[in-house]
Amino acid sequence: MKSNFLKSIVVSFSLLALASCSSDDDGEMDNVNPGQVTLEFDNGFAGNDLIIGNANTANANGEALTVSRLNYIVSNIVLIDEDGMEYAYPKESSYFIISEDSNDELADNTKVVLENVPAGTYTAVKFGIGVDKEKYDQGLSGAGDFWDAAGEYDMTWSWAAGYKYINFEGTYTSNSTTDEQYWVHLGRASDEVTNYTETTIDVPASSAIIVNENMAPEVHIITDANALLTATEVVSLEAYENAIMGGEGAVKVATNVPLAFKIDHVHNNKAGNSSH
Amino acid sequence: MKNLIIIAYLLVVCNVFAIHKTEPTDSLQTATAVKYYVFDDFCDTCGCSGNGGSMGFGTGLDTNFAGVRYISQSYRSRDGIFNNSPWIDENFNTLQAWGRVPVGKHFLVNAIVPYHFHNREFANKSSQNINGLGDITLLGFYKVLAKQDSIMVVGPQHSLQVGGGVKMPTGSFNRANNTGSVNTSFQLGTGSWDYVTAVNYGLTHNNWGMSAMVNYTFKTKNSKDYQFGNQLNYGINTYKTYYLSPDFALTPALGVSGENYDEDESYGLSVLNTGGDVLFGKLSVEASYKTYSLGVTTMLPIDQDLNNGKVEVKNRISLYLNVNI
Repeated sequence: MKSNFLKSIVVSFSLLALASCSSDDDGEMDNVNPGQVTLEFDNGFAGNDLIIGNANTANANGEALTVSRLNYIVSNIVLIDEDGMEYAYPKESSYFIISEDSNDELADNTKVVLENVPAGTYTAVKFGIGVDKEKYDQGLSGAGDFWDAAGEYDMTWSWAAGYKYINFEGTYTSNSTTDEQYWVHLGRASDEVTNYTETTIDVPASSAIIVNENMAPEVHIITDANALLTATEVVSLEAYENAIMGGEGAVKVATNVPLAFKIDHVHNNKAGNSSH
Repeated sequence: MKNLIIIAYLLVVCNVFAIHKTEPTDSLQTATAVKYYVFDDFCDTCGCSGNGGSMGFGTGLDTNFAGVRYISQSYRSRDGIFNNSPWIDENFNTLQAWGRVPVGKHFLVNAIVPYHFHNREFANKSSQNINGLGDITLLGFYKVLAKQDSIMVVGPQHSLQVGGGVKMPTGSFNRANNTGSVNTSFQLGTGSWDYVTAVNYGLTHNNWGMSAMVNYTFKTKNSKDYQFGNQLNYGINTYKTYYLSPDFALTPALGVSGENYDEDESYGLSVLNTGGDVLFGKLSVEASYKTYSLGVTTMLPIDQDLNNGKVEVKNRISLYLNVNI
């Protein structure tokens, strides 16, 4: 009995060793039975749904925001599996504009669809907010259609100034002011101050993103607009004269940005059976 | 008396509550017949797993009956993940046939066959209906203690039944129903073979009665890789029967019942915002004429935390007609 038990342990280890050998040494995964993954960005405000044009409850600064636009660039998406292995979505296809805008001519973008993702059980998602220096340094020709698309959503300045990573606008009311317009445009300030940030968000405990050829999981990410101004650096709009487009204010907002995202839940749907 | 029994057999009736009048094996007993109920009205919060479990797998009695019951359950649930996401109304309706037959002196077999017709309306005013056969439940009980069939018995009488059975996946389960709203129970069935264990206890004294029940359903993974959370039901009732004439009696009853749900699992992973518990207050009145019983029960939540507060039960109402055989 005991020797059988030992034997089974030895066999298990051998199998484990064989399995380890078959995976790539460079840490990349074999792309077998790839599937589709959808990241859905649900914009919220302090636990509530963000409704464009509706007043939200006052934030930590006593400023009650009515948001007319929340557009941001999501980039360089990486899925991390239960063993910590990372799958980086092809960089050339990994720039997306998420948009909720009072301008009805602009379609809202809330979904990012990743195709051909290697089969696996993923437990975290890493992505950038904005456009990284490497991409920016490719110049306008390297930007391709994305520059034009970003322009449509008012996510660009001049090329020299580059992209707006976040375009967050509306009005706010506080003790001292009523329905005051505000602008928060986050972007690259200089070669040294890029304001590009990345965030890694975990799926809720005991959940996972199951990817294979038969599945089309949807990952529901909540973006808390309230956190952009309050997550760790409490940024008063009034203190920056209602416009944060660079400088210290932008750096503070950039500090908050990675904390604004969290995965609410994952729908592990069968392929061809999408939800909402 | 024998004729009455035969007539009862010929009529199709139903009941949520089994009513026991002492079996009239001796005509002397009829005059002192004591109504003997177990009110165990537990519907599942789950529209789908509406096996009527709390409605009395066992009534704690020796009565055999056939009947039909209509159950209406009204819920509201969040259509979305935010605190201010809109509520949608969900109505679960069930028409149920059930019956019980003795097997030998010490065993009983219960059968419950539900037909569901559920509907809900989304925030955008679109609506969804599902209807069809639900999950059929078959249960067997062993009578550990049985009420004495004798006029000679004086004082409180006890009955105790222990049993178990199976809820079969005869109702369809469709994963697509689980998207949109957070209420994963908008289904006709769990789609799985589920196993039930149950204990019923009854106590009567003069015209007063009390019943208690507890049961637990072990749910398994269905063919769509979804597994509903295990479920505990319990309840206690007190009642008093007023005999208005030799043939006619009224029995009001008051009780509480509760349900506890474990989290659901999908592909082996727990499903957010599932599970929870609810406690109901329950009020019933039953009118019985000879072997027929017509009753109405209403259940209102006293305390609840279902699906992380994202599902709320508003009320349950059932209406039933039984023939005791």
